[in-house]
Amino acid sequence: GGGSGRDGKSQQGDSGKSVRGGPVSWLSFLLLLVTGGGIIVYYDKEKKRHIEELKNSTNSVKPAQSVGTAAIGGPFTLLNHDGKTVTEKDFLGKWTLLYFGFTHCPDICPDELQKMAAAINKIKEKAKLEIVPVFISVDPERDTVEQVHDYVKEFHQDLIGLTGTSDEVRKVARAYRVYYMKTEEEGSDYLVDHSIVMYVTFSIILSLSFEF
Amino acid sequence: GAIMADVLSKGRESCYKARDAFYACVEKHADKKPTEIATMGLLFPADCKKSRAQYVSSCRPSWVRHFDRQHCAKKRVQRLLDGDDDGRGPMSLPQPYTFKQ
Repeated sequence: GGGSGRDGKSQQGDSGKSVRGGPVSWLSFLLLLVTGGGIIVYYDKEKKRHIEELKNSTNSVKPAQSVGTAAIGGPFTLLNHDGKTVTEKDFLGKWTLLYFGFTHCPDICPDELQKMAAAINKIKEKAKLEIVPVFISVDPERDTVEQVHDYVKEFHQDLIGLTGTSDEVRKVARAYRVYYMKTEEEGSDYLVDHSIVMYVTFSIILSLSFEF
Repeated sequence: GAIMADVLSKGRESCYKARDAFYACVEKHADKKPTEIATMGLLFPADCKKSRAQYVSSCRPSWVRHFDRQHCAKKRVQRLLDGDDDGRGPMSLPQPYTFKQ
């Protein structure tokens, strides 16, 4: 009796399951296929569009991007080796070769100034081009007009030596992006560490006139 | 103000001459034990004492220090390029003389 009872129970369970159906119905399965397929197709289309966009943007020629012009130089007021006031306007329309240094310089400045003198002599001889060599002191404390005068005369007769107040020297060095700093200071005996650059400059003033 | 003539052409020439004589002496006596102290950590043998004195009196102290440092740097590069085993390895830490003088 007990065995048949068990059979009846299991039969009851099977028939209940088939009535309720599986967890996924045919309808929901179809819905999943449609939406899933739709998403895949849509994604593929978007991807292709994006790639096309990237291709187009790299192929098309863009206008050159500018980051401004080099701003080297600026107004200054210094004293030349004869004690006369000199400004940037005195060099308008002239080719100039600028070098920053100091007279108490152990070896680099004299070397550079010698090279400078040799170069302008060569250019004058070969290209018949007059270049004004200019030495600007970055040691205004010790480089007096007289000191600079005696110093520059030893390198070239045309070499212009400029010096000035600490403020003016700082201003001109900043304008020309020249770094300088006192080192190894021991009273009045020190060296000045500075940028070693030579600038070839040619400046003009553009004046526009309109006629009506 | 007074003109510092020692930095002008003549002064420079005499300083360079004394400097070159001293370093030539150091090179010549390179095999001897360097016992005397210069600046910037430079040592030199006692045989060069005289030329050192001449050098120091011909150049301003800041120049002597500058040239001594240059000389040491040159030597260091030379040792490195020659490839001696003891010359290789990491750069030395800053020494007291890097900050003083």
